[in-house]
Amino acid sequence: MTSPVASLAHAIDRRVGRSAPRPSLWAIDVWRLLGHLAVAMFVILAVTGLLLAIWYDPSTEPVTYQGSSELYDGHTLPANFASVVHISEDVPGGLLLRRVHVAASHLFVAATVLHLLRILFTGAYRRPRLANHLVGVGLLLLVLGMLYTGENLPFDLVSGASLRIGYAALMSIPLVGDTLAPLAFGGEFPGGDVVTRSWFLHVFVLPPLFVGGLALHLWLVHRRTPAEWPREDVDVHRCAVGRPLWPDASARFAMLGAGATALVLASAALIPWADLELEGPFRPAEAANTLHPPWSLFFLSGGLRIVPAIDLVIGPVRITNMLVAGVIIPGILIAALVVYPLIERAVLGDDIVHHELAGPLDLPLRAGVTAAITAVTLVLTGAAGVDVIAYWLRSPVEGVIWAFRIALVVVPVAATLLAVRAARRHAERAAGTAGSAGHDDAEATT
Amino acid sequence: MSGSEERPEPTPPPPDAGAPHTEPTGGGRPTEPAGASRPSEPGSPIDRSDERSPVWILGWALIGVAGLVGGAWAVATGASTEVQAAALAVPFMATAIVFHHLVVTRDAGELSFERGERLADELAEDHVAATIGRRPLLVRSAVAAAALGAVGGLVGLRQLGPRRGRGSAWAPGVPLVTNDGDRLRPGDVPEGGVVTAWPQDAVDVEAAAVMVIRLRQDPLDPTDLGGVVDDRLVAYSRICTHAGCPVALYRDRDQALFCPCHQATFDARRAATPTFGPASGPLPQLPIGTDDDGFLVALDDFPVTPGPLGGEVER
Ligand code: FES
Repeated sequence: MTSPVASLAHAIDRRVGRSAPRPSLWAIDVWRLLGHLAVAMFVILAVTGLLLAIWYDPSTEPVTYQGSSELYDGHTLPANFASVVHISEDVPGGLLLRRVHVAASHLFVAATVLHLLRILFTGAYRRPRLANHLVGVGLLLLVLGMLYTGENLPFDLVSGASLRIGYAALMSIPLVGDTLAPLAFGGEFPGGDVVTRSWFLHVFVLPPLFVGGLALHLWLVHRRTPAEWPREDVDVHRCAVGRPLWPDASARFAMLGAGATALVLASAALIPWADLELEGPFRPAEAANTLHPPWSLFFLSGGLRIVPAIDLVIGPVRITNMLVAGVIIPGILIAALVVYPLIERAVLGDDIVHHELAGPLDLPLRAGVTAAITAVTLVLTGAAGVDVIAYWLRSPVEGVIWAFRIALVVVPVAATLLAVRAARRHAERAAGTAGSAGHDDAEATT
Repeated sequence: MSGSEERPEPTPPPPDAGAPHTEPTGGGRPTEPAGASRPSEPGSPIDRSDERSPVWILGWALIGVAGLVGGAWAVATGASTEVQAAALAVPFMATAIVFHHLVVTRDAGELSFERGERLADELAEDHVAATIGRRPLLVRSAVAAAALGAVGGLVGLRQLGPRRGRGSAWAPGVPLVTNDGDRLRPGDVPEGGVVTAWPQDAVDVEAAAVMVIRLRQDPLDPTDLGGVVDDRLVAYSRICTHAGCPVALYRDRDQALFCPCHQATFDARRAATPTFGPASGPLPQLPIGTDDDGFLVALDDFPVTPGPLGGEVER
């Protein structure tokens, strides 16, 4: 009688849709859709990644490439770089796959980070959504892990630099660095099987973990119901409000996913996202004149560039620039995402359940801390471009680095103070308008 | 509260304040975008656009299929990547437009329900948080146990794990060769020039790579002058002491070595001591000399292990 599709739709509808006794509610606005944009990008990444995995070869063994790349035909190349050349030049649609994979990865990380900022600025991590915030931080770490391992796969000069720096970061850890680095890289770089490991993590470990974490993340959103801005027509503390997952929210997710995919494809037509660098494959002891990681890892690269040289030896422990900028500062930034909500809860003695979203300036403490985290990350991110900025300005790179060193101290302090002040002002003004609004109400009722 | 009643009713109508449907409207509302359903409020603008939707959708579906076929054709015939991408963007754009059309014309509004009883998993989450808050001793001992475990793991790792090797493939008398394995003579390095060299049996072993530089002026303290050929030919490790990138750039003007990764700068006249940037150690100098046939050879290994300065102190 009814088609299987229709009965499936009915079943979904009855469980989470409009006809469900407790429908799954989802918020639909630009800020809240960022998370869904990230999910859509993950789908693109998974599909293109699975296709790319058909042709990718993780081995670094030298092979002779033969194919339609004029630049590399007949050359002996590492097998993984050769397979990437093969995908780009000889596989039909291969270059498109690579461009789309890279373009989607940019949007994936951007959406993830903006989503996180939205959570921080609006206090959406408060009870009862704290556990889900922690799941989200875990997902962010998986995203960065996928990004780093993915960057290593083409085994070009950029991969070479990223691998060397990763090795050095592990080596910089006091007491165990000299053991940890070869252990993680499967031998001394560049001899070990680190690219094979990166590939294994990038394809078989991190994405399944991400899918699992994402399922938990979305399930928790569904269970906790969306937090909502205070509004006049609904008491958002008492009532959950949103679009039911079926069909309203699903149709919007489909719209968003399709539109974002079209955007990524269109960008792949205009921008050569992933065309092989002319600098070519990894070669021992060779580097390009300028080397940059993907922009989302700029905050690491920037710290390494502007934190001054450090060589502090305390007994058997040596503290270096690498330890500070490559391990401690990013560690603090990530830890702040986890610890700050707990601190806020303890400082305010705020143990109640919050279903209302807050404004970014509603709480001076939160405004200050989020401003500080954002400012440090932004300055470090900008600092990754000191060489490019120096080139633009036609001025020595030393001056640009000094400017960023000063900015790394001044900007976060200034941003924090300004944010706290603005939040205080905001509170005063809110108190003022609340008073006058009450006055208006009183007038209206008389 | 009273204000909200005076406001003009927006479309879609918001859920009723304070009177959430515990039983959401199922009735005449469309539950499937494709169904031939009627909006619940006759006479609204929704009605008219809804009647047109099949034609709309058919049109976009045709465009989408055309894009899909075009994209497949572009991929199959090896058309340029730009054409493939543009063609394949079309079906997704069409899908997005169709869904936008459905979303706008069939919007049934928001739903609202009273949260009511807190759910079991939420209570469990609270319980965990409360336990952590109420039992500082428990937390502290867990932290202590974790720290102890970490220290134990580290000690075990140090004892059992692999270790980064010390020294390099250089030794007294090992010839310097080029990338192609050819032996080097001092004359192969022009004034102000840099040549990458390797130990004869360890070409491409990154840790052993050196740069042989012919300075324009005599090297100064603390350069190991005993390991310099022709008064001005010096050899330094090519691996940055910051994070291990190849120090690929040489600026002849002030005889400075540059690392492209994070702008560490080394003074090639003064034993490659760092002058700016994140590196704290000099690039180890390889003492070089010439053998009886006039070829460059190493006089010894590097004085310290080349490569990034790690967190462990070399003893
Ligand atoms: S690796 Fe040379 S400056 Fe960082």
